[in-house]
Amino acid sequence: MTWTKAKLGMSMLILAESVFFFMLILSFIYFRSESLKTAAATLHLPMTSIYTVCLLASGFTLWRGRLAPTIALGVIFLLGQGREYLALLQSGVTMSQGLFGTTFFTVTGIHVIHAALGLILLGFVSFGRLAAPAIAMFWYFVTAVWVVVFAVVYLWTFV
Amino acid sequence: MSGVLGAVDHKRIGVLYLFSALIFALIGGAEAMVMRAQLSLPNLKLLTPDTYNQVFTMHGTTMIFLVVMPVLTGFGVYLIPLMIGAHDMAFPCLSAVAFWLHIVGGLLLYLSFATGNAPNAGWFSYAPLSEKQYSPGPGLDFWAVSLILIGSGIIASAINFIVTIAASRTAGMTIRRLPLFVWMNLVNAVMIIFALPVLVASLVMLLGDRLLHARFFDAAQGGSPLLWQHYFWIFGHPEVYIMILPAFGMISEIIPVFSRKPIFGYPFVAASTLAIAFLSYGVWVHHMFAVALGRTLLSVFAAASMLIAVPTGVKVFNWTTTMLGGSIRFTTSMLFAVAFLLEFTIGGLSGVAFAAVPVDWQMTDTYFVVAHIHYVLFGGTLFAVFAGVYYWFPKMTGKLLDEPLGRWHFWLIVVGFNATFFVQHILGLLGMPRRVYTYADFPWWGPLNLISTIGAGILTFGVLLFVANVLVSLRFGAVAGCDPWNAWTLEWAEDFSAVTVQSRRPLWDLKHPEAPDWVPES
Repeated sequence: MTWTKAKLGMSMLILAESVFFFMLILSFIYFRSESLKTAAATLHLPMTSIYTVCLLASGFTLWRGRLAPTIALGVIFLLGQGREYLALLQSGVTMSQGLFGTTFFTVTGIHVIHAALGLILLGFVSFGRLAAPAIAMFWYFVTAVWVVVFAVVYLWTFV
Repeated sequence: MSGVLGAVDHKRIGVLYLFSALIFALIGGAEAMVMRAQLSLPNLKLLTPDTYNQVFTMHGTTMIFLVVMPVLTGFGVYLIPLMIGAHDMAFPCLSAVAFWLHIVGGLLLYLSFATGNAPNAGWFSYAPLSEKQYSPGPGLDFWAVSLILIGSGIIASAINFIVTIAASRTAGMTIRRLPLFVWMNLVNAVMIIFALPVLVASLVMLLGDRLLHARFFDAAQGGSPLLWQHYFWIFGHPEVYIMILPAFGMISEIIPVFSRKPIFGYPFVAASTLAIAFLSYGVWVHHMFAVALGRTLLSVFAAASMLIAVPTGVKVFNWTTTMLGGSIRFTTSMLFAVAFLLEFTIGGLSGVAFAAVPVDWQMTDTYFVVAHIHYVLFGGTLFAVFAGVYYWFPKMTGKLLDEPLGRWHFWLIVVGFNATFFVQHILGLLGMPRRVYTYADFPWWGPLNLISTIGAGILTFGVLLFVANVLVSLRFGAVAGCDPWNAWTLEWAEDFSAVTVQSRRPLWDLKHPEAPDWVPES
């Protein structure tokens, strides 16, 4: 792959964003022992696994150069996150309710913002307004971060 | 006006950064004078304790994020493309975005005064003081949001620096031939990529606590104030080096030119920068020695902190050896560069003293700390910046700064600076705590504080004289020509595209075809 300025710039941004997410995920791990009970009682592993597969599939379709299904799968993932949030709020888990709510909503909320931003950027790409390879890198990053978040927040809770 | 708002040219953006840094330096300096007035005599009550807290918080935040960082960024944006033979930054619009993010952040920070509640928890805003129940006003929210904006701008310009240096160099400008200023800015930009996002993450968490009642740093609710300290200093200690490396770069350009010798040990200057960058991520706990963290941990961080003095010392020896045997021209720029070596070394020595845990326990939160940070940030970075302004002003404006006024400026700053801050070492040893708005009439505290305040007055006068010099020289200054110092790096070329880069000193080769730095292939 050739390193255009746009791709090099995007990879530096991704490096910075990785540090940012690393610190947020670290805070989740730091408080994990106190939040484990609430996490195990309220998180919905099967549903979120399905949405995770959708997000990974969006990375695959993007790799194949198919923009429309990528955006569609990304939107499904966001809807899935919305469903999970709603269920948590209904069972009383909020930002202020405890350390699990605090760390969970911060980590996943910041990720949701990135996913939404990524979808908007992909939308611009589909209208030919932005350099596609650099934006594609950003979307791969969004999916990669979710793999880590899913492993730490979900899988680690239920193993 | 549209020329300013719409500017994307790197020279314009660079000058805008320098200009805004000067304005904020005058504001931050005025805040310092307010504090020195309040502290000039024992038991003085010119300010209320709360106002005093706001003033020192704003002073620290302003000087770090709105003066030192932007002034260094400004020199980088202006000089890097010229030094590597590029026509502009890799992303010209991104330079402009980064600049305006920092301006909006700065204005937002100062807007907090309008709420009657400027941030007041110090520049590192320790939890739980920074939490809602102890700082209920909006000041800290302004502080956090404005630092997120400023921090994002700093990250954006770091990305721009890296891509520009990686992808926009002219033919022959290999990584081993980069001017040291560019080298250090490259390392610095990488450090920013790894450090500033940590600050942004911490601030997001703090805002979560303050605005959404999250519990990160709230001990009463199971959170951990210690987490804030770790996070802040994981950013904060690399930040200390981020605020000095570009200044090292300037010194590495200026001393050789005014000593008429190439820099001594270029590879060592470059490599020691990497060593500093690497070590700077492993020393943050030395800001937290007063926290009970266990002896093993403290010993490790004490050792790492002492170790970092080695690559820094290597640089000081390189600069000194460059001067040794050179034919030195004591221009104002060179005077500031030499003074930088002395003042920064004093700051470095007091820093090493702090790396010893028991010394730190005795001195932490005293005026010794205040003396130390001002010796490295003012005596270090700002002295280098003054050297850089005198050196590159002719490049930026076509006029030379006035040398006689420059000498007055230099001596007022040197006398004022040392009078203000040297005595603060002694005050710290005598046990005077920092960040307390007034003090009782203990032996020597009054006279030493008075000396410090008088020194600050002299310092202020020196800075105002500098501003006057800039204004006078812009209008009446001698015309500089394109290479007033007989320098060697590309920014002084009349037309850099006409220069072939075959060594670290392309203009030397151009001027001395009989004795070039490179060995012609036979």
